[in-house]
Amino acid sequence: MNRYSLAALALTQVLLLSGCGSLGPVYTYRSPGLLYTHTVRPLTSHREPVDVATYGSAKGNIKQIQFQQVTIIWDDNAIGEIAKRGGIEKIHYADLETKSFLLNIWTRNTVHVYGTAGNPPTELPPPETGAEQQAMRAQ
Amino acid sequence: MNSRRTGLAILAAAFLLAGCLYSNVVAPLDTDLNKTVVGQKEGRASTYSVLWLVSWGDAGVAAAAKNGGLTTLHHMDVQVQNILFGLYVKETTIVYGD
Repeated sequence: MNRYSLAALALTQVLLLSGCGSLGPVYTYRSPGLLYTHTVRPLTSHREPVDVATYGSAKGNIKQIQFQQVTIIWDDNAIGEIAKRGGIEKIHYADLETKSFLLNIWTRNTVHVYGTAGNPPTELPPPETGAEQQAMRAQ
Repeated sequence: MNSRRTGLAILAAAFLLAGCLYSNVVAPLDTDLNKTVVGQKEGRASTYSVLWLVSWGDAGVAAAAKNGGLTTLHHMDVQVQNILFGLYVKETTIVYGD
C-alpha cells in the first residue's frame, strides 16, 4: 500500500469515524474566528424564572494579549464588582461579550450584568434665586 | 520519512477538522427544570462563524429576550448548526418565557 492510499484511508477514517461527537459537548464555544471575533453568549443559566425586563445594566471587562505561550491578562470581570460599580442592587442574569483579533493575539472579554438598579439619589430642591430670597424677606 | 510526514499531516487534519460533516441539534442550556413553567413566548438570537476566520453576532440572553418580547425568562436552549467541518457554524440561544 503506497503512502497516498494510506493517507486516503486514514483521512476517511478520521472523517467517518470521528463524527459530530468529536466536537465535544454541545455547550462548548464552537464559533471562534481566527481573524476576527465579536460575539455575545449567555454567561449564566437559571433555576428560577428570571426577570429580563431591562431595569439596569453594567459591564466590566478583562483584556488579554497572547503571543504563542506568553499571555498578559488584566482588569476585572467580577460580577459583584461590576454590579456595585453600575449601581445594580439585584442581579438577574449576565452575558459574555468576546472580541478578538488576529489569532486571538488581542482578546477582550466583557461581562454584561443585568438587574435591578438601586434607588436613584433623592433630588435636592433647586437653590433659591436672589429675587426669591428678597421677596421672602419682604414678607 | 515521507510516511512519517504523511502520518503527521493526517494527525494534524484530525485535530483541525472536527469530523462533523453536518449537524443541527438543539440542546438544553438549563438542567434544573423542576417546576418550570413553560412560557408562551420564545426569543432567539444567533452568532455566526464562517471559514473559521470570522465570527460575529449577539446570542446573549438580553438580545434573545428582546427579540422575543419576553419580560420573564423560564428556561433556555441552544441550537447548533454546523456545516462542512465547521466551515459554517450558527449558534442560536433560544429563550422561553412570558
